[in-house]
Amino acid sequence: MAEPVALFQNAVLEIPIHTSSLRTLKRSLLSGLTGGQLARRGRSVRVRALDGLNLTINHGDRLALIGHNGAGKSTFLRVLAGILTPTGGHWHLPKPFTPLIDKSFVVEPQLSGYQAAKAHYLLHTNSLKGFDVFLADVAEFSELNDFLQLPLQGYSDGMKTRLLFAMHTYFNHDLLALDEGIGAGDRAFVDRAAKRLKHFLSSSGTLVIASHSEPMLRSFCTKGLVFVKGNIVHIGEINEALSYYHHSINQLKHV
Amino acid sequence: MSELLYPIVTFRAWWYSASLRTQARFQRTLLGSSWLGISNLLSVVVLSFVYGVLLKVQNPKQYFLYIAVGLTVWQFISTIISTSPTLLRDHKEKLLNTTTHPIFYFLEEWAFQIQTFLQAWGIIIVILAIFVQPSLLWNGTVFAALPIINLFLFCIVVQIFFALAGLLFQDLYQVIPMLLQLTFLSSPVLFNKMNLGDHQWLANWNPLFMILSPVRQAAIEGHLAIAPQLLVLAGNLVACGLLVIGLGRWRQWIVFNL
Repeated sequence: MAEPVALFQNAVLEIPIHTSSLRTLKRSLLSGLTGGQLARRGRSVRVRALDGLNLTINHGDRLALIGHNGAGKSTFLRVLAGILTPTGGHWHLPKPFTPLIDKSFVVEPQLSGYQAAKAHYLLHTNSLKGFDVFLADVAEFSELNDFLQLPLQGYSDGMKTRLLFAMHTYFNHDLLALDEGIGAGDRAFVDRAAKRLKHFLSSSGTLVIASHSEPMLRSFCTKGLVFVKGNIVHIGEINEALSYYHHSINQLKHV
Repeated sequence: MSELLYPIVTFRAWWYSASLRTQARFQRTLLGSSWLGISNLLSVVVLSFVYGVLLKVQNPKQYFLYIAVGLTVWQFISTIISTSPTLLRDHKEKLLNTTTHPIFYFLEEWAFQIQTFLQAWGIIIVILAIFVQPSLLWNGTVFAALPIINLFLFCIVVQIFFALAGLLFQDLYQVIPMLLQLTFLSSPVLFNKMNLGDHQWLANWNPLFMILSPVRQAAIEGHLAIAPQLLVLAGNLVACGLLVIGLGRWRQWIVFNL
């Protein structure tokens, strides 16, 4: 049997919350004089972003992360990408997932779409080999063409979304951790992007998507994981997981 | 090993990204990035004139040369250190949402400052070689090469150190501008070290002056102490390597403390 691409056993991620008053030279000096009591008190605020997570992800799985904002979906994507590491429990992540969470350009807004595309390409490949093909593809899909020579600050939101989407979906990834919003946009764009997104996601071996878009989750995922307060409370077939999520929302409304 | 090679492997990306910042900064200006050299030259001219009169210098041309080289190097050191407090915070979203190694953002800022320095340095060297001391062209490019490399490496080490230390002690961010100003005033940048009299230890134990002085000596006098410079180079490379590895390991700590 093939090795799982990710394994979590009772995994915990605690995030320390600092306020500016907790990290000052004065406080540090005081703590030295008082045997460190002040510093220890000051550093006691911690939030459990992931709380006792148990999950095995196998190659080829297509998982939907379902839950309210702040339930731990994005944090879990960051853990899969290796950006964050659990602070407790056991986990095994032989190869980090590629995260598609960031929705901003590499360059400053005064610069052109062409320069943004070039910087993005260099950041992914460290060379310009194949850049012409990439640029042609991005220009054609985003329909920006000559507009790529204009500064990003002059782009409409729609133009920016199209450019980012075209750049992000050019490279194929075996393990993909995708956050919501990457395929968002106006109706016309979503329709046009659907085909490309389908091809992009189908080329990924293992896929984990965090999204509130149920049509998207139903289209690309087979299994759903319902997150509540940093823990997975339900794992099941996608339609069943979504029903569970709706049912729990309705129960909360009645409470 | 692959982590240590990261700065080399990704060179094109961070260098290009840095050059884009220069382009963005001078977009729509008539003289473009030439302003980097011109503004430095203007500061040098004004300061050497004012301090030349105040200090009643005997040889204004040599004093102009002394100030020009010293001030250009100092500008590089002070700018790179003063950007360190906000550098990680400016890239918080990228650190939280991408797998790009944290050293990338330091390298990008460093490259931007190097590009700025090289333009200022180039103009100073050429103009002073024409009007004051022709040997400056050779000294400033050949003899000063190794001290300049050490200057660059030292500065990125200091930049990373202050950026990380500032996450632990927020006060440091407030202290840095004051420290830089005091160090500048007490360093023989605008005056000769001899003027410090019995207090020359102020310069001898000043790490920023210790890295500035060899560049100035090599450029103006053509004096290069190769063995100590190679030793400093080795130390700088080790420090850079350790910081690259450290930044990768401390990524989570950095993100949590931003």
